[in-house]
Amino acid sequence: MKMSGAASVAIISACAFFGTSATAQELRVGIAAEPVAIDPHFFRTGPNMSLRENISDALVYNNQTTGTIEPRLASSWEVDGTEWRFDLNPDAVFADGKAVSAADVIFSLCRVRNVPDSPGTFMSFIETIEAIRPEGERSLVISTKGPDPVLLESLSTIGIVQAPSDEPLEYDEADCGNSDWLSTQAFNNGSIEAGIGPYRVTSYRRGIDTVLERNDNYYGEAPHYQRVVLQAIPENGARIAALLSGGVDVIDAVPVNAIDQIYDNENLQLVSAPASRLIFFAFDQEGEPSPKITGTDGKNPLKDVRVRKALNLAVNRAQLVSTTMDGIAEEASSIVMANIFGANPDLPRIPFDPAQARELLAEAGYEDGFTMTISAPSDRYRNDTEVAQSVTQMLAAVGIDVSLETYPQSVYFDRANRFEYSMYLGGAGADTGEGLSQLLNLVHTRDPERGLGGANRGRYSSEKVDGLLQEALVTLDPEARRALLQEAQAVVYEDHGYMPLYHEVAVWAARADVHFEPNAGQYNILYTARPAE
Amino acid sequence: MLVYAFRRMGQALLVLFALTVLVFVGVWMIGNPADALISPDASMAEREAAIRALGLDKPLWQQYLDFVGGLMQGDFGNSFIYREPVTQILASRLGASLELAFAAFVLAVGISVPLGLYAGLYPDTRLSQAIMGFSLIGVSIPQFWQGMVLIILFGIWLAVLPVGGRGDTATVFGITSSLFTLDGLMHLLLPAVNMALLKMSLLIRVTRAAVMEVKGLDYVRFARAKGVRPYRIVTKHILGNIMLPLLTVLGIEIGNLVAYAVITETVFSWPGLGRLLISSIQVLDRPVIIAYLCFTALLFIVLNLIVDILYTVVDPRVRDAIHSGGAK
Repeated sequence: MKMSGAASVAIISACAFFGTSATAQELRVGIAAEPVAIDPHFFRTGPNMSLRENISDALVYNNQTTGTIEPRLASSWEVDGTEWRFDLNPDAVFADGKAVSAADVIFSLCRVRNVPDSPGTFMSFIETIEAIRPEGERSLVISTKGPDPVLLESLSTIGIVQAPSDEPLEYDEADCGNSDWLSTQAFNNGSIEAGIGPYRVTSYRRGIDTVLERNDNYYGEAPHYQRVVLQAIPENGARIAALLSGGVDVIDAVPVNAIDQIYDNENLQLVSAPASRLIFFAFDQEGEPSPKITGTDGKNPLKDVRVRKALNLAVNRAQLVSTTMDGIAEEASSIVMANIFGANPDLPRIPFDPAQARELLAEAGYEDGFTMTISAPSDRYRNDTEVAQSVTQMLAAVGIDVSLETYPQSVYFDRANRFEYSMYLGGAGADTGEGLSQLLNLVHTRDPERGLGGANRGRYSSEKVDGLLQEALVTLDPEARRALLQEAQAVVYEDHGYMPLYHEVAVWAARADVHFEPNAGQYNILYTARPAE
Repeated sequence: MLVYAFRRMGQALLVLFALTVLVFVGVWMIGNPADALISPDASMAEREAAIRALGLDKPLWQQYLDFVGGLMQGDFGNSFIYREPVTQILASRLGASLELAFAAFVLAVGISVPLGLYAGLYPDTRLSQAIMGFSLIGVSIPQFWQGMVLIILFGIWLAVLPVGGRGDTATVFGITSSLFTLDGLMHLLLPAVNMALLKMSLLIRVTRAAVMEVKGLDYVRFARAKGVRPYRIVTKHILGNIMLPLLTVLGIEIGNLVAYAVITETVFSWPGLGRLLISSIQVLDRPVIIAYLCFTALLFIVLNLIVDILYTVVDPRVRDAIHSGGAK
């Protein structure tokens, strides 16, 4: 995997000859996945959300690194039960010089449901909103169906675009009585701007690059670089070559096997931030028999908490992180990552104890183990197959007759949704930057009607956890809510409802003379980049 | 001649039809494109909305009929992910693929036909052996690895060429291409060489084998005995007669260069059709996959047709055979 010693030395010495690739006013970024559209509401997917953060401000900014909500288009807000009042920043102006108004906000939030032809909307972020009414031009009141403690986090994902009409729409949960929703193509070809942001898109060439120019009328702090070019370089080797040759200044999604090479290169630096995404194995706790388990007379051993505990004890997380992930991950014992709201610092690390694992298996009646195939995707998460292979070996070491099957993601998640696995590798992040959404998604009883437990495909279910999360859903007091989330995780921990492995660490690599700030949401934040001092 | 062309086209349509059915059933068997597209954290309501928007809530046969219905009006449908007409998306990538194929083709033919000719005429010289050794290496090296080596060598080590992307383009006579700018040509060179190397190896071998076969035939010997100048023997008698096998191979190879540049385009981040195909397969973007494969099939059918027509130009025997009715 790693380049031979001679070759990497050659590369390092070659790099010393490099001057700057472009003027200091331009930043070139090699990105693994390109945005599918410029339209901020079109597609809920990482690359699109990453671009949106730079070109189309939301009402607020969710700083996942510090865990605080910062003002953006809304300069201030106050909450009273289910009523949220926002004051808009009068200095925030669109390209035509008009300041952002309540009509624009209502139009944008309503467009989320009505964006034409979207392959994946942001609907779940606005589901709790019942009504929006303007209060004059520069203020508005959003009322939610019940108390919604994460409304700000949800709103931070919705970019505000300019409404075609000055007249505010009547907000409802359908089409708001409107039919002109602005086509995604118009955003892509530049005839409509994506909103108000530190940058604006001046050229979008799919498969090639996206060019951003500094927005000189921006109401906030002006970004340093006049021009940013996002070059789509999906191939890992090609992306690293582009950085080494000086073709780009920054790359995202640095693959694990390139970490050492970049670390050793004095002209380059690694920039990383712990990310909220938990990589885990989920246990099928519903099927009887479970689809991929045999040798148990039709019983599903994973329903037995002793077996789940045994499997958890059999995994050496320290080794997984240090060897398989080359240190680019944080060991996990629970769902929510340490510096995300709702993390439970009191839960001890899950020990690595194969002896006790064997005892527990014997106690549960599986002295001779059982036969199980575990499932993993091969192209979804960083090093997913290698991680699954390591876990397979660790489980085999405590006497389980285990084998591994891997699928490309195009096949994998479809099967997971049809519950075809017994124990499967998955990942789930805190999309809104706090723990509640992650817990609702992963550990709440699966309830498609209400959109709960969507990633809980092992169907872990605990009345107590459900009760705690339901309560957290309507608790506005942060400390009380935090306590509820922590308690829910303690229950899951005791139940061994999941096999948490590690939280991902997002890694960028940049030239040593570029200051680039990492982001826990794995977004490329371009407006804080500048030459290093 | 015309009847012949029409019959070929009829066959081609049948092939295309079978192809679309295959892709539909194939993608359907692999999984639900909605699951490959949407965020794993998405709610059920979002998932259902996506499935509806993509038309995947209808039964497969109806999806297929809708597709055929659109096709009758020349509409291949919209990409699942970009939601734009796939013909438009393919067209936007075609230029990059064509110029890469063109450059690789010129390099490959320009170098390998003379080399093959030499190796065939003088098989025992040192140079010929060197040429054949080179061609053996060329076919043995995996293109992916070879591309990386080229990048490390010329892009990072010597640092004389850019390592990826298409570079600047310019528009001449309505054609936008990177062939017209220096920056574009610099970007084009490495990927074109990477693709040409494999084709060169093949073409050298085909040319040499054909030359060696032809040069021993009676008419060449007769010409030589008659005292025809060697230059004329080579250009008229030998080159003219090796055109048939060469044309066949070239026809297929041009198609391969345009349609299957997947590896080179991936390694060099070249924004052509190959990369589009790979990324579309990863997310099961069925409309793009189908349109791409139909385009590819059509491309090969047309190229074969052109080759067949060229046969009649270079080989009077074929022309006579067709005229006398035996369209074979």
